[in-house]
Amino acid sequence: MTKEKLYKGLADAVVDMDESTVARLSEEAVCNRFDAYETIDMGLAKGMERAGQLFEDEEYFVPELLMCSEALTVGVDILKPHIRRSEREDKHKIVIGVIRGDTHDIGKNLVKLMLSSAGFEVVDLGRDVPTNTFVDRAVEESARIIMISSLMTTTMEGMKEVVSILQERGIRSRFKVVIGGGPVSQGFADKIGADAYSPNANHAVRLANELVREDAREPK
Amino acid sequence: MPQKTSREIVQDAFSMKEPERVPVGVCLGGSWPFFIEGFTLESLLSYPEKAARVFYEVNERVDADFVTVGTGATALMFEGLGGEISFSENGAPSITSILVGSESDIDSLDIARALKTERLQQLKSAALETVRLNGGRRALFVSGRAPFTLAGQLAGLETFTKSLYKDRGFVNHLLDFAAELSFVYFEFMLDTEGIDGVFIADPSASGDVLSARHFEEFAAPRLKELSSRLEAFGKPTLLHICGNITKELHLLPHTGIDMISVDSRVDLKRAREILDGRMGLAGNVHPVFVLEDLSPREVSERTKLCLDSAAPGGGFMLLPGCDLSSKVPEENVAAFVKTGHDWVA
Repeated sequence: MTKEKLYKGLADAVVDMDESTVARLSEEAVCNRFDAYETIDMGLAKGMERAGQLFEDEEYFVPELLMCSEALTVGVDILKPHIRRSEREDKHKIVIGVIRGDTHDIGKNLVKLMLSSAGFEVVDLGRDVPTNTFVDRAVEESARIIMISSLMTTTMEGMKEVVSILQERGIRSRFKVVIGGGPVSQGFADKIGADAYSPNANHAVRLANELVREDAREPK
Repeated sequence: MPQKTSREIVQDAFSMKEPERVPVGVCLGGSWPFFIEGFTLESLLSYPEKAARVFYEVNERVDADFVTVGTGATALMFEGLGGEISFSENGAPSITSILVGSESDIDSLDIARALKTERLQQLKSAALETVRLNGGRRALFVSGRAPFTLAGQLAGLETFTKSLYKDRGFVNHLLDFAAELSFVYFEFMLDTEGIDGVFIADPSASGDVLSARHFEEFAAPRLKELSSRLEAFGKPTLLHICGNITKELHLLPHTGIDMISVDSRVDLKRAREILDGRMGLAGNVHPVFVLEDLSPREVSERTKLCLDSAAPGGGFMLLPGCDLSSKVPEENVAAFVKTGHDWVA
């Protein structure tokens, strides 16, 4: 099988939530000594990107995206040990969590898995995270992006507190704050002074890429 | 002719009649009255009479026709089953542990224990006191969770939704348990004389989480089963599902539920067309972007838009599109209710 055909097969299998085909093709890539990093990037990650688009288009929903992610993980587990050290580049770091008072983490987990499959290093703070912790951990991890999720109208105010804490500590400009979750909107992001709002997991990846590029352009 | 009570007006809406004015409810979960009075739910649980008084006085002050009792009950039941919960300063208590990790865990759960906790008994005492304070004037509904959402909370939503593909046997077994848990809770609360109806929340069956196919296969049949069992009590049923459920709306009249409360993301006019008089409709002023963020005058304007699109013809109740946060000002809620009461087609 050619590389291109194998990559397409892997991407299709991720979209089809087909773990056994992902395992078989990933093993085949290893046997054929295809570059493991490229196989993940051009095969598995492309499939996850397509799954994310289907989610955005409301053809896939949470269960489907989770199953695609499971298939992706099967392939990554097989290919990862074969990635050459030189290809393990420094990844952009993102701190992510669900705001204090809210334990609904499925949306945050979807964003995390899409970001990870797109090559970001994601520091997951979990759910019901105190507002100070977002800031403390972002500083400790030298992250540039803080992503905060809330699924409840009753907990959204905590997002504003995170922005306020960054301002109070005089470190607001060091971080891009992105918010998301069912009841959140661009208007709310503007109101609380967040840098961006993301309506879904796939959009969050595009946004993170844009923010990283923007960050690189800004004078330090 | 004497004016009808709030309770009768709500009952007319559930009977798909055109009431003499639009009925209005303020809280879906019911925590907001505690917060604006400076209390947390945890602090009030030990004092059922005080909790009931605080809760009822706020609803009376803003003149809500529809009032729910039972906020926090699901977490308290999970605590009774052996789960861990945490109280929040600005919301209902959260469930912080997973009770079902495998199929064998389901059979080890004892439903009777869920109802025997002291705090759940106190919650019921608060409901009894609310009934006494109400004296039949407003419509009092008991709030609780639907089987699909309970199942997601028992196993963790991620595990549960993946199992829709991976292990249907587990899903159905868990849903059987959740259906029983949901029913016995409502049965326990409906034992209280003076409760007028049942408010069922199914946030995890959200149109943003599930495809219409999975909703039809797993969530809708359990709603039908629950509403069928609740028929014995002869009380009307109201269902709230979060997110955009436009694609699922056509399935809901078949569940036997009397009225659906929709999220702000649903177009009320479109919802009305789809439902076509087969069940009532409630909603859907945005709890944050309107009720929290705007001025009373703007709240009134936006509320009128909702009413104009869904209230003509009756079978409608004005509600927020989701639960209120602790930051929603009382004057905005009062403007919301007054607009509903003053509205004429």
